[in-house]
Amino acid sequence: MTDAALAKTPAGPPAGAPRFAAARRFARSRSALVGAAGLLLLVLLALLAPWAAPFDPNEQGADNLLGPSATHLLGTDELGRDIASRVIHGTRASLLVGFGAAALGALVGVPLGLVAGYVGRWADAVAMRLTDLLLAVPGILLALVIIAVLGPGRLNLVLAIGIGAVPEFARLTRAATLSIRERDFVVASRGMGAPAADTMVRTVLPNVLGPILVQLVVTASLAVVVESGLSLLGLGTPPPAPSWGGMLQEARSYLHQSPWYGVFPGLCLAFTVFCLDRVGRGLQRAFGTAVAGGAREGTI
Amino acid sequence: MYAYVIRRLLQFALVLFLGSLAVWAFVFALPGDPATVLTGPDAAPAELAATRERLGLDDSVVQQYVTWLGNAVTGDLGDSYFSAETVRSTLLDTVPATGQLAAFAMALTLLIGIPVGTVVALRPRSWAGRAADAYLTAGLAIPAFWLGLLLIIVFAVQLGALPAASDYVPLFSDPAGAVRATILPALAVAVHASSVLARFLAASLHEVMGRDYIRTARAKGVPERYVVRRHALRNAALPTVTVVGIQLGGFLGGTVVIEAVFNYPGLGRLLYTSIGERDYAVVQGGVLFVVAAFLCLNLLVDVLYAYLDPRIRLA
Repeated sequence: MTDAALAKTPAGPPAGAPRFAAARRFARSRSALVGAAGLLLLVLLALLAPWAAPFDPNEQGADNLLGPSATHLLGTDELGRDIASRVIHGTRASLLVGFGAAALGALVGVPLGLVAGYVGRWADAVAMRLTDLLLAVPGILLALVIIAVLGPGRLNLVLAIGIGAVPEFARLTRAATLSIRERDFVVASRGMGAPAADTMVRTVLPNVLGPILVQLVVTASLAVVVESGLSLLGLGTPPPAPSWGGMLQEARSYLHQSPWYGVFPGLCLAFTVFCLDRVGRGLQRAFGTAVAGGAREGTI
Repeated sequence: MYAYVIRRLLQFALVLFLGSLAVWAFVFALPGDPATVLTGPDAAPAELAATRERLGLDDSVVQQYVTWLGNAVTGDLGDSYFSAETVRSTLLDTVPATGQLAAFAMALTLLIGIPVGTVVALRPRSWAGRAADAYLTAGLAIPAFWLGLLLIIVFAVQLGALPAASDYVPLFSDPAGAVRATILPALAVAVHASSVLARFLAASLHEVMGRDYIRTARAKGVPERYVVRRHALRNAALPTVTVVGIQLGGFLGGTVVIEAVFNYPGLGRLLYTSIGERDYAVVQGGVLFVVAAFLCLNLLVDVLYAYLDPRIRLA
């Protein structure tokens, strides 16, 4: 309803748009490029963490809770581990879980929305009540309960956060599908006797990919925050693997001794969300779509 | 209007029913049944059987659900596994605290979000517009729990001005104390939420300002401030009402991490600690409460929206 009210243009690229037009529009926005560059930096850090980090992230030392110095740029934690190295390695947990959960949400939600929008009737009713149900539980609470059932671990974390992302993908895909299902090229595909599944996958899906891509980035930024929130509660990335949320949790115990401890992990988290937001906004403008689920952000 | 409300009510009832089913089934998805959790791993078979009997776990699945739902409707959510209290009284202890935090957070969200969104939409090139845009960008990126941690470091640890762990002080018994105890967690939540709200409002307002009726209003000589207040803001506020409803619902059930960071004795912290203690009766009742509250709020918002905007009822 909010999405419909805010949507300015129908989903999908304008008729007759040349290929890669969206990519060119994206590249024209400086803010989007800044976000993309930041994201690239984060991905490189995650991939090259063992080489980029000055120390082993789990190597303990006698000098604990040190302030920033030349050897330990961001100081050390309560076990004498180098905070900078742990922050760099923590990028992996955040990006893996963030993009993993977003991908899972899309993998389940997009087919659901496609069938709901294209087949309609009972399929639509079932899918929509299912999403209503999932939307009635705040994302962090849903993830918390799922973790309680499945137990901690990185894969379970992806599942727990990804399930919460399903309804937004389903609703978005459904809305986009509804808006094009009676367009001439879809009717033509049906008219030529193509099976419904074929029309959905080959004709409808490619034309609704734009908004789905935007949603993928938006969801990833939400999932990164939820992962850190869960880790802060001790239910996310299991220690001793470094994660930004886990570092924030440890920092809470040493607010007096070393107030700077929690500053940098949080700053990295904010930077990641900032970059993803810029990229998401850029894609949104490039495809001319509205985003679903923005209002659910931040209630953590 | 009536047809719309009735349709919406039926939908609400159906989703609430599905929700109760899911919440109830959650306990069955857990490893081990409630009796095993309750009696512990070393319980004698006889004790286990007695507990199963007491909890009604030997009845048919349908029978168990109907009994549970019947009790839940009358407000009886069963007993906490570990404390001597009923789930109902445990929840009632924390709901006012979370309600007060949500009310504070929402007040701050509106107080910050509406001016910021309006300035960003109407005066994007002025210094105020740029400052508001910077606030919005930062507010969206900074997670509430990290801001909470920073606020604790600055105001509680360094300045010693406010408490680091927030107790629940009822607003009506001690207004000043309530503000002192609630302001930091509320602000941590509100900075992010107001940025989300401001962005929605700005987008909505920006679109409305380009409409024909705005041009008409200006052409007939309506002063600009009335154009904004009477013609633009009223129309732009409509989609924003939905956002506020969703956010309020989120504040009621989703401030788990903030409550944990501030050690605030609300519903979120209760659910978190209950999951840690495996007190699934409390988790079940708490989540059911959150779902019901959220669905009621949504229903209320949708009816309000339909009342304010006749186009919705007819769609």
